[in-house]
Amino acid sequence: MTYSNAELIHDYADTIWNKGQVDQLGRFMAADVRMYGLGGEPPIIGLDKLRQETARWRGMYADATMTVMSTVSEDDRVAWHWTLSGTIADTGMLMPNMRQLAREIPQLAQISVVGMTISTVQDGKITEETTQSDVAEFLKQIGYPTPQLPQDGGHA
Amino acid sequence: MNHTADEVRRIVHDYAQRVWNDHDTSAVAEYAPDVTEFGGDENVTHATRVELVERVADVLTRIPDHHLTVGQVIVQGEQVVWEWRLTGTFHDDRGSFPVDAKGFTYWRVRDGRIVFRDGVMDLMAWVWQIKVTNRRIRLLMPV
Repeated sequence: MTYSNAELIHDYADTIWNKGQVDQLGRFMAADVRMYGLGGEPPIIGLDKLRQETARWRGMYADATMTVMSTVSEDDRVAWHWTLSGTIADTGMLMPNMRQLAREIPQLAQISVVGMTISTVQDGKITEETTQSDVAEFLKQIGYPTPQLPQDGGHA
Repeated sequence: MNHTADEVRRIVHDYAQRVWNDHDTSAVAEYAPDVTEFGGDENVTHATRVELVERVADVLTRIPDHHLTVGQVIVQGEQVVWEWRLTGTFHDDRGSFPVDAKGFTYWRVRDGRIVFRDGVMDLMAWVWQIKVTNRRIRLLMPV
């Protein structure tokens, strides 16, 4: 039985994000993996750098649940839609206006972010990813003063 | 009717060209079922064909030079994810603002109609470009 690219993605989400085994990243990512965002963020290049960044973000959560809501696979690419939710490990990471509130109401430290990623897989490992998450919603949940949009920026 | 991957890809390109580049809102109606379902956290979970056309027309009014470039298109069965880049000039009562933003759209296409729509866009670039915020935030969550 072959191990599909979609199965690789589910396994990656479960191992790295749900179980927090960031040291296992090399099972899923090529040594020269390149990760891009859509907003012109500096890309993350190479497994070592990605491991550092992933550990930093995963470490934000006392617990984390990554749910892969859907995968769309064609040839060597998989597009996947995900939700990452969990409880902020250190309320010091919250904006000051949220910090005291979160101490009194722990549920306020629970955040949930959605995103979509397109991964290219070669020889069983992810070589390139482009990802976009709802950063605005993430910032809002940690207490960052997010602006009111004059209109829905989403695409119909 | 099931579509081949190439047919779905053609629908993506045709829709993007006619609706978002030629500004032909009749193409929205042509590809819409009676009721379209939306995913995500949007307040609107469903829209009738007429509501959908109005929604697109509103975007085109605010961005009269709206242009969309289609990037990667990935198809599996009735599901398709496509990458886009929007350029144009956003207008509202505060003024006019050049915009250049990217996003991913997820559709389910059945019998020639886009029955389900979802997606994410680079909202932080958007709010900075239309000067709702004076600071551009670039965060890449390594997922």
